[in-house]
This record gives sequence, structure tokens and C-alpha cells, in this order.
Amino acid sequence: MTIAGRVRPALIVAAVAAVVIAWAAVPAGGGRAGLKPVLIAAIACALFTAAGLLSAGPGVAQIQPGYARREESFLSRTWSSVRRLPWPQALVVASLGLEALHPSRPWHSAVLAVLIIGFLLAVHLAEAAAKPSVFRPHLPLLAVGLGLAVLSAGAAMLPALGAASGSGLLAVIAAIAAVVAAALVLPL
Amino acid sequence: MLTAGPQRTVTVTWRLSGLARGLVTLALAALALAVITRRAEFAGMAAPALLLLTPHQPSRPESVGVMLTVAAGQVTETEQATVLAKISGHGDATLQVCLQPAAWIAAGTAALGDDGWFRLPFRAERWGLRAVGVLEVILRDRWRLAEGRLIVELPPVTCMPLPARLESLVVLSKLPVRLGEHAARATGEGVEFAGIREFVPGDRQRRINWPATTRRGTLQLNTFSAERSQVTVILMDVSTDVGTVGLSTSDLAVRATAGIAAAYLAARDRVGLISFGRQVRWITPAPGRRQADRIMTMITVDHGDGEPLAAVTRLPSAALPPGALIVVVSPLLSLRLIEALRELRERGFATIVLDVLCAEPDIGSGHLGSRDRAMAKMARRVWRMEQDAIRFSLRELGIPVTRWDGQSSLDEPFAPYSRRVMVNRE
Repeated sequence: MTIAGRVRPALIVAAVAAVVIAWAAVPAGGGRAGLKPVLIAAIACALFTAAGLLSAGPGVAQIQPGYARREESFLSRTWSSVRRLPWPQALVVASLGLEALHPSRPWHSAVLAVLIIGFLLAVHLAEAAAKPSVFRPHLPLLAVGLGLAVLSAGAAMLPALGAASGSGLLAVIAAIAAVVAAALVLPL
Repeated sequence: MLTAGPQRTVTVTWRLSGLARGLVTLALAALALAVITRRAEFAGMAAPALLLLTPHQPSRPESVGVMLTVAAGQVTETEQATVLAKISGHGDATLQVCLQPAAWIAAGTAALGDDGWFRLPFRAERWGLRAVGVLEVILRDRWRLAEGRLIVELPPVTCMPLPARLESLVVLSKLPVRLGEHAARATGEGVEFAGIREFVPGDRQRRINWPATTRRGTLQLNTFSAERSQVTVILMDVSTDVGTVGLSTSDLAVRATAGIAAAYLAARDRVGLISFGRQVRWITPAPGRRQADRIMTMITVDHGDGEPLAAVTRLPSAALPPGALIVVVSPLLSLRLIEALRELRERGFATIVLDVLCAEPDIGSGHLGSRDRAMAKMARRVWRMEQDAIRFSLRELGIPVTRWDGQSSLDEPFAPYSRRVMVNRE
């Protein structure tokens, strides 16, 4: 893919990442201490994600002799290593961290989940140079997942039962879900 | 001309896709935060990601068939060629095909045709036997959770140099007695009018010049120039290579040689080649299309089958027929070649040198001291004077030296010698 062809998907990813960070960070004054470093980290992750999509990938002319490639500058080698780091995943963690630094706001968190999923799908479309129609089979699962997120947000807004019993139940459910998630990806 | 290679089976290595890794990160991070912060909404955030991870596709192809069709002949510098690839046995996995180009190859965007073949355009930017690169195929399952990657190496292509343009040829005054297209000084059966002479019995009556006959009172006859072919031997000096890669002395020498050979062969002349590089190789003069192919192959691909340069004491006589025009394409940096030129001139060959030197010694960057910088500048001046002296000595020997910058057509440097015949002695 040419540079011009990569600009549009990278811009879309950058825009979605900006929305994710902004949604997770607002209100900036309402968070706990440590919000600023996490916010800076999230912005850096978004920038590196977009820059990684923009920089030369397969199919781009490499008009230079072999010896010139071996003597690549330290800067280009460093950049090559940096862009291989999992920046989209880091952005996901950073935006969840931003959300955790704010007081509990269930509906806000549910919308953030939707935005993060949208960001991950946009990154995949940009990397694979694919059209959004490739996610047509995922639509029922997405709909069910969003329903569950809405349900959990609604449940979180209900008056708390007892701190001990609720948190213990939640910990058990979370542990089971983590095991299920690990089991799902292990065969790959 | 295209040839289809046999289908080969390539093993696919499957791994987690970037999307799956992102979803796993989201799910695990959200669950961990739910436990740590004791906030249920984080567990809810993990739900969509976990659901998107649930589809499992057990039957992914372990290997796929790859058929490649590449340009079997040759490509010329900056000419676009295409690699065709057909992938089979991938089931319902989607394909992303791209060409990872090797050095001096510019790759375009892959496109899938209606016939199921992927077309991957590429362009060789520099002459020589070039590796095209590798074909990278990425397979993605229906749910985009796993991706398989395979790499197929593409066969090399021979990239011919882009011939420099040459339309006006340098022609010698005395040409060998072989039928050709150049008008010779001797009279013969050509079509170019040479003069008139008195009719003698046996002459063809249709050549009688009646106006001249009327004026002089005796029968006068038109005479015509004989049409002869010339023997041209190109001495291509690639023993040194200086300058920017792509526009170096070797690049210029090769492109000039290709242009000169093509122009003389198009005029039905006999053209030979002596390649003066790490080894001395040569092709004896001959006419025709096959000779053009032989010359292009020799200047493009170094098979290493010639005589080592150190073992060669003089240029091969077999490649230098008497009466040949010797066109030397050289940066004139090899003293061995200068000696060879001196010897050629002593043997009576009409020789012309096309100077392709396009670079000067680098005097270094700014971190040199003022004293060192002055010394470097002086060294470069001495080098320039040496180069001028070499060219002056060749001109004194009767060998014209003309300079070519690699950008313009060859007609420009050859203009002073192509407007009139170049005198040679046999």
C-alpha cells in the first residue's frame, strides 16, 4: 500500500483514539492523583499507533542498495524496534487506567467499552487494508456484548448490597471470566 | 513472455491476530480492574471483548498451494513488470498479498483479478541480475482472530540497462568491403550520388546523365557511392566505479554501451564488445538481433568467465578486426586502460573515448580543521590536474575524448565526430 493509501486509515485510527482518550479522561479535574502521567502515556500510545500505521510497510519501494540497508542509522533501527511494540494494547490499558482513576460512573464506562472496541476494530481494518464489511459476521456478537455491557452498567447503578458479599461474588465471576478468556486464546 | 511455475505447497504458521491480542488485553485488564477496584462496571466492559473471542474455527488450513507466474524474459530499467500469484487451498480464509521488494525494486499495490490471480506490479530501478523480493501472504480466518503468514521467494529477473539515445553515428572514412548502409568514399552500387564520369562500353545505359552529356559532348555516366558496413568495437571500462549509486561511472558506461551497440546494430553494422572490468571479456563483432542480445547479456550479467584483469597484457586481437572503429566508454581512471588505448592507437585503430567520469573525490565534511581542509582542497586540485593531463595526452595521441553527463543523448558528445567521417588509416 502506498503512503497516500495509508494516511486515511491512520487518520481514522488517530481520531478514534483521540475520542477514546478524551472520553476516559474527562473530567480532567475529577480524577485522582496520577491522572496526568496516565493521560500522557495514553496520548503517546495513540501517536505511536498512528505513526506505526503510517510508516513504511510491505509493498513500499525500498530503492537503496544492500550495503545502505545494513548501515541503517541508529535512529531508523530504533524506530523499527519501537513501532513493533504493542501500542494499541498499551492504549487500551492506559484508557482503562484513566477510567479507573475516576469515581464510579457505570454508563460512562459502558460507552468507553464501546469506543475501545471501535478503536481495536479500526486498527485491524487499517493493518489489514480491509473494508468494514469484514466485520459483518461479528455483528450479532457485538450486539450481545453491548447488551451485556449495558446490563452490567445498569446492575452497577443499583444500590449496593453488602460490600463484602458483592465484591467476593464479583471476584469469583472475574476469575472465571479470566480463565475463559485464557482458554479461548490458548488453542491459537 | 510469461511462464507459469509449478504449484508449490507452503506451510502456514498461524498465530493470534492483532485484533485478538487487543481484545484479550481489554478483557483481562478490565477484569483485573474490576477485582482491584471492586467496581462491577469494569467486568461489564470485558463482556463484549470476551464475546468477540468466543468464535472458534477449528479447521484452519495447515498449508496452501502457491502458483507464481513471473516475467521470464528481461525487463529494462524503469520498465514495469508484473508478478502473478494464485493461492489455492485457503478455504474461507481471506487473503492479503503483498510484495516485499528487494533492493532497487519498487513495488506497487497488489490487485486481485477476476480470474483469481493476484497481480503485483514492480519496477526494477537499476540494471543487473536483480532479486525481486519475497511474496508475503497473510491469511485471516473468518472471525479475524487468527492470522497465518507465509513467505515465498520470487525468482530473480534480469534487468537490462536503459540504452542511451544515439541517432547520429560516427562513421569512418575507410570502411571494410562488406555490404551495409553507410555511404563509402568508393563508388559502387549504392543509391547516394557520388559524381559523373565518361561512359565506357559495358556501363548501364540507364545511368547516363543526359544534361552532362549534352554539355560536354560525350556520354557521361552517373556514379554512386558504395554502401558498406562498419565494424564497431565498444570497449566498456567498468574496472572502477565511482559516483552516486544509480548514476555512477559503471551505470553511465553500461547505459552508453547499450545505446551505442543498439544504434550501430540498427544500422546493420557489425558490433563487438570488450568488457574491461574485474575480468576482460569480449564478443567478436557480428551483426544482427542475436548479437544485440549477446551484448546486452554480457553488459548486464557478470558470469565471471573472462580473463582476470591482472593476467591480461594487451587487448584481445580476435575482438579487434582491422579497420574497426573503437568506441571507448570509460571514466579514464585505470592506468592499465590508458596504456591499452595508447597501444590501440599505435596499432592504427580509429579510437574515440566517451568520458563518463561524473564524480570527484570527496574532501570531507565540515569537521575538518582549516589546515586539513586546505590540504584536501589542494589534493583535489592535483587530482583534477592529473585527470586533465591524462585527457590531454590522449588527445595528443590523436584519440578524441568527449564527455557525457549521463542525462543528455549521446548525439551531443558525438556531434563533432558524426557530422563528418572520421579519418582512419588501414
